Amino acid sequence: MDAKINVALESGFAIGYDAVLAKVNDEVRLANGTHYLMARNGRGKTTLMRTIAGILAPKSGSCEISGNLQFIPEDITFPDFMTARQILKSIVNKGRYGECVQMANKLDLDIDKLFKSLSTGNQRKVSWLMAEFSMADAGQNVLLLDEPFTGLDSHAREIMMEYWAETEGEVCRLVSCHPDFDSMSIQSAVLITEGEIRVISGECAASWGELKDQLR
Amino acid sequence: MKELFKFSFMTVVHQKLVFIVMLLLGIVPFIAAQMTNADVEPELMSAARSQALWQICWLVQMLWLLYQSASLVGGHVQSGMAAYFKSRGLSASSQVAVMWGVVMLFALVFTVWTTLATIVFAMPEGELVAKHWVLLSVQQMVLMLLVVSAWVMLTVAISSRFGVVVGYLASLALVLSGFYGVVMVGKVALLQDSPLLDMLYIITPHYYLADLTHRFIHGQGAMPISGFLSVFEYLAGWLLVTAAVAVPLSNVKK
Repeated sequence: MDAKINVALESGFAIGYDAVLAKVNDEVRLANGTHYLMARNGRGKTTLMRTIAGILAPKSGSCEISGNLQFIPEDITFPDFMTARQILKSIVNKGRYGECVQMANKLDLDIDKLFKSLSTGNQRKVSWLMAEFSMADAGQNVLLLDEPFTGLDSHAREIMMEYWAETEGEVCRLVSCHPDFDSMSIQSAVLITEGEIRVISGECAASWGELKDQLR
Repeated sequence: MKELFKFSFMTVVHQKLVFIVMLLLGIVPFIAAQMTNADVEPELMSAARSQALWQICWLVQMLWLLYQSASLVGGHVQSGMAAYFKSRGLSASSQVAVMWGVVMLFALVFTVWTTLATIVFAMPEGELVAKHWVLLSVQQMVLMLLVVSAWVMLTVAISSRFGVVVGYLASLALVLSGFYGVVMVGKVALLQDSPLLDMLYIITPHYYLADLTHRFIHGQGAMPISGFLSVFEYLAGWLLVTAAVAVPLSNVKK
């Protein structure tokens, strides 16, 4: 695999449970940067992420990952009796813990609250912080984020997207989401439409308003 | 692997139940020993303390440790953290092994404490008796750790696949049948000519062999080395069988 490509889904790669949900016809290659995974409900966004993460076996074909992979499921939770600080301290990279706390402050997350006392949006921030600041310092990193915007306010979402823009040269992020404003600019998108997994990027990049019409 | 170990360890610590268990292990055996008539017959104190120490330790391993194993692993899978660590390259069996290691760390602390307390606070008088007492304490520690490691391995594997309740109850049932049930089956099998009962007696693990409390109580001294090695080999064999079952049972999916 090309050194700059972090995720490659080869032609013929198919996902699904009993039946095939979606298939790659033309190879999908993702380099560092933020790639939005978009599809209508039930078309296989989570299934695709779980398959890339190695939790599910592909129905056919294979995918290749180059670098350190992390997949954050949408419904990930932590023990109720632990504070966000205790959770983050035990998982994030020791050298990046300070940076993580700074980002938590920026996101208005009170890390001394018990996890169970946090709102849905704030609970999502904890899992996002865990993933972002657990990444290996050296080498390539691949981050699969399943619906990270669920429950987040626009302020927090903007901070996350800003951070992704700042670090896009270091990490390949695949982010599943349903944007709620049509003007959101999308430089690279992986679409699952009509049972096909394909990528739209570069000159074909578009706004969410244009892309959503392509989803079937 | 290091992160999962640290996170799991911190989860047990922050749940705080472990501190109550430690307090129980540290205080109750001494209170229980005072309830005997050791005031009248002081030579009973040694037997009473050692009995209380080891029996409470067995109870803690059976009830709390198995519950903690089931709760830790069942919660880990249900929370999605197992899927997260799988994506980081840790296979289901590696995750189960790491969590087994975390729980065994607590088992080790309990067992070493009980061994030291038996030697320091319950040692009977007499040079030869004392020598046997120390050796017996070490033998009991080794056998307890061996058998508990098999129990924990089974519990974490079942809980990862079938959840907390099934994992805890199924393991507890197996442990109780191997600790008490098999003895009763043996007694009934002796009285009745039933190949089925004989077979049940043979295939059920004889975990009670690891309990040497009676030797402390009756001042029987350390086990002869050959006898100890036979029990060790038998229980180590069960540990291997348990490991062979645990690996394919390990699971990360909800």
